[in-house]
Amino acid sequence: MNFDTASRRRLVDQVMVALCWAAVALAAIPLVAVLYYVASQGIHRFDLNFFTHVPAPVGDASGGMANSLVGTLELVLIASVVGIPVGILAGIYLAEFGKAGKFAWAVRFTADVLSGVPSIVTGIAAYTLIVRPMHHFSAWAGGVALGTMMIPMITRTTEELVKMVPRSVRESALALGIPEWKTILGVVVTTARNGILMGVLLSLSRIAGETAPLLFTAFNNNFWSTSPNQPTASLTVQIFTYAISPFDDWHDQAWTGALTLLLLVVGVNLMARIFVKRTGRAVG
Amino acid sequence: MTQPPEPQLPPQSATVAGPEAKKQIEVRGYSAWFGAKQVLKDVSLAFPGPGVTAIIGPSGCGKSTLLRGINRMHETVPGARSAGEILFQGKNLLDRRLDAVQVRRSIGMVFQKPSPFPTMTVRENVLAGLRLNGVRDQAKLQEKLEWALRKTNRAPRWTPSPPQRWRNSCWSCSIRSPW
Repeated sequence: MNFDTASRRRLVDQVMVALCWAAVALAAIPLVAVLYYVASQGIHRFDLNFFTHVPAPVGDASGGMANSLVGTLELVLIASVVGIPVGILAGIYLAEFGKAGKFAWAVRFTADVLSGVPSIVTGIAAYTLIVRPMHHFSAWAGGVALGTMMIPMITRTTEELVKMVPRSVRESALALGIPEWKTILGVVVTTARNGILMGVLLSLSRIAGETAPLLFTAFNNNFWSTSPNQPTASLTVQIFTYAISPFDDWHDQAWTGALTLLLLVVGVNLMARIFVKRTGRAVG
Repeated sequence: MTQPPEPQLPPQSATVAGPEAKKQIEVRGYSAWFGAKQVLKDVSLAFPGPGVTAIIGPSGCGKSTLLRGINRMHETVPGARSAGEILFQGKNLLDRRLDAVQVRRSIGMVFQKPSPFPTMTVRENVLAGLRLNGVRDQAKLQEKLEWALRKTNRAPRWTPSPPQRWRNSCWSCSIRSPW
């Protein structure tokens, strides 16, 4: 046995582990920096006023983003109604029925392309298809644009998770004389539900932070409006508007808006993780 | 894999019932394929009953494939097909016009490896066959559940060990059919 080689190996091992640690630290620095900076800048205006008031003219410090927060929730709700059912059903189709067929290949390919499309392109499509015919900006258009972005994400995660359900589970159900559709919905999808739900929540938190597709679909609104037929404010667009303005007060509010959005996204992510942990792991 | 050395089992090899017992299930010239590969070639045998019949053979000789053929589980494998006749109550179970789901409701199957539904409780597992086939009557479900658990000598709260899980799936299979 060559002992010199052994000690060299140990050295290489330690260097490699150290490099890994360094990489982790390097990856964590921007993350922590962003979190810290947003929090420290946003905390000044992070008060009740911010969450209960609509935007005020420059100089009036009582303005807030209540309407944007509600608008974002409204947009996410419309997007969910559009994106979740279509995404989940398409995912089930791909995993259970399409399999290796040509049509399934086309659907998969389209979904992959769609998830790579820059979000502003989705926005333009929604503008042309919904805003132009309706002649004005609306939450419908914004919600549909965001929902369209959710579809490919949910489709592919659902497909993968449904495929992960072991064949034996499926066969047990079929052998009990349970019809195929009930086997799929009642057993296979139920087994994969935690993972599917997590995919849905992650896609929600992603679209909640989108700005580009909303710029010319939901547009923006400085007043209270809960009608989906009207232009609708959203945290992201409001942050954008305030951030490019020349006023310090608006800059502060943009930071607070960013902090709110960040907390929202962190909240949804945590919820996804806690939920999956609590309901025990089935698949995913 | 093509052909077990002794495909034609003696009809009453391990049957408890007497030789005069009625043929419950009769397999005639059954062949099965996975894709292009034929795994069962012209198998014929009869299961007399009521009783227990054991099919014995080395692993990979097609015992399970034969059993899966009887309740139409063979066709759930992509690319699988079969030929021949399997007679039960005067009907050919392999008849395309017969609904495979109906066949499986009247002919249960317990797998070698237990596979309980992972997101369901023991109660839900045992009752899965009934509930997913549309039985909603709570009193009846409770009655069937207690019957099944008594059969396995289990108190209502217990964590099943693997053999218990297996027995569990036996009972969930046997209470599948309330009709």
